[in-house]
Amino acid sequence: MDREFFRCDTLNELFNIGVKRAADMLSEIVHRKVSLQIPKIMVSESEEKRLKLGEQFSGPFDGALMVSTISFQNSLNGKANLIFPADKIKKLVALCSAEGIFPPEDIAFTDVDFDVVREIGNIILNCILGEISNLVDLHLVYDLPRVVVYNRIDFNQDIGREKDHSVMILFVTFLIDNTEIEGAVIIDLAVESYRDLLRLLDGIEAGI
Amino acid sequence: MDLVSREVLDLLNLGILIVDETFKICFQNRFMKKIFVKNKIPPQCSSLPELIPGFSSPYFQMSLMDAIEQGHGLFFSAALHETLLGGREKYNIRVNRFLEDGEKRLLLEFTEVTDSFERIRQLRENISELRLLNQELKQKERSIQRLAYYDHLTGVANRALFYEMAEKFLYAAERNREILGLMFIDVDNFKQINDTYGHEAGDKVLVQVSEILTAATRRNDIVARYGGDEFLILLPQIKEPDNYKIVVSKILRAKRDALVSNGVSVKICLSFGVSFFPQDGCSVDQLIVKADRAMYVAKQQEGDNCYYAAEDHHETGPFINH
Repeated sequence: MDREFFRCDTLNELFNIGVKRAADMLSEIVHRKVSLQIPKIMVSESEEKRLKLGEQFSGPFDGALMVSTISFQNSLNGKANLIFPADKIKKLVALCSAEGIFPPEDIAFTDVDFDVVREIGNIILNCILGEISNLVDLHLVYDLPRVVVYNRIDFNQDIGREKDHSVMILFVTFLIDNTEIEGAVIIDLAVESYRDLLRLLDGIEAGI
Repeated sequence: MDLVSREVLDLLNLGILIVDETFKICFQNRFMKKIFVKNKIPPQCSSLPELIPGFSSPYFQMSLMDAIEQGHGLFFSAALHETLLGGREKYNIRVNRFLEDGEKRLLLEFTEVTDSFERIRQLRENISELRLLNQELKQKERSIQRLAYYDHLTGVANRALFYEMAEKFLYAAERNREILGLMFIDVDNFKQINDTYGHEAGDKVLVQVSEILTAATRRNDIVARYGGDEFLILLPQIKEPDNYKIVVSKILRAKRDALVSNGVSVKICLSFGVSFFPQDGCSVDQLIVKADRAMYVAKQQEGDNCYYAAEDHHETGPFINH
């Protein structure tokens, strides 16, 4: 339990450094005060936890989602996904781009919406993955982000299908000026990579 | 870079820049040079921040350094960096690291997306026009509805709406075994007001009467202008026929001095007749006839009289003090 706590604590610290850096970068390009917080991190280490994770995720993200994904290979293999409820995307894009406001009837996604989410995903995911790779001194090869809209994600079904994968969920709160937007980052690691990561974290705990 | 690679890159329909670890320009393809000409950027500049000053901002510097050192792929959207190249055209930029003879290089691809922005702008304009059109149509629909169902002068229900509502109330009263009251109201000496002070003064009196009647009735009661100086009130779901007196009392208690011309006001007097479903008739017309007759009886007396045939007595001015 202590070891698990230490792992979560280390990851939390790591991810918070990453999102702090991402928030600074976002603030600079959108010319607004952006803060990013990670109120909760969850790791699916067992079947039971995986189901719990699904329950926790389904609440705020039960609907259409826009997902920006970066794949990485080499020392660790997996995918990192930045996820937003689709109904929040217009607000996010309007806040981040020069538009400022958006007409309420403007509901269809445009190429610009996809591009903005692609860049935001690129910034946040690169910062988070960059921190992991710095900490454990691993070299990762990244793909450019891919953005897809899903009508609905059945988390349990999707994760259950990937038995040889482990999942970490970071619930991320975006605060842009005074507007709050809830998002999440899901890091999906091949089980071998996940074990490698845990071994490296345990090494840090042991002072190796 | 060999000649074939350069020629292939020159054939691409997107701008290509290759920079080294110090962001010195190693190569720019033909399309990229065209972009620089279009945006009045001197192509002979030797480094990326010199060529495109926006790249010297901390965000770009940090991102490009990460790309060089850690191999991050980067994407910069035109929406978030509209002014990066300074011109009207908009470009998305992708950055990838590659190795050339063991040296780290960054490949920057500039894809023009000006058309996408223009299409979105047009789409938004169309949506906005449609929204305005839709609002206008709704407004017109409301106006038409008002014209069809409300009296133009007083704003209360007209005959069409009165009959529509009366039929509904009558049906409900029959089904639920309720009492429906109908009040017929006529302005006393209205012709005299018109003749003495003019039609404009008469109109003012009618507007004030409408306001008094509306204020004295419940939210679900219907006040209607039947024609000329005649008004009707539908009183659905009244518990006792006698309850009409509450309404009459409220009306007579209201301030009924109408300012008809400069400094001249007249006292508005009203005559009332009432009838009730089911005791006085089973149709709207029967109830109107009964109430009209009762009003006629009330009108024979001095001003502010009310008559209900079944009671066979007049309710006059003093009754408001009961």
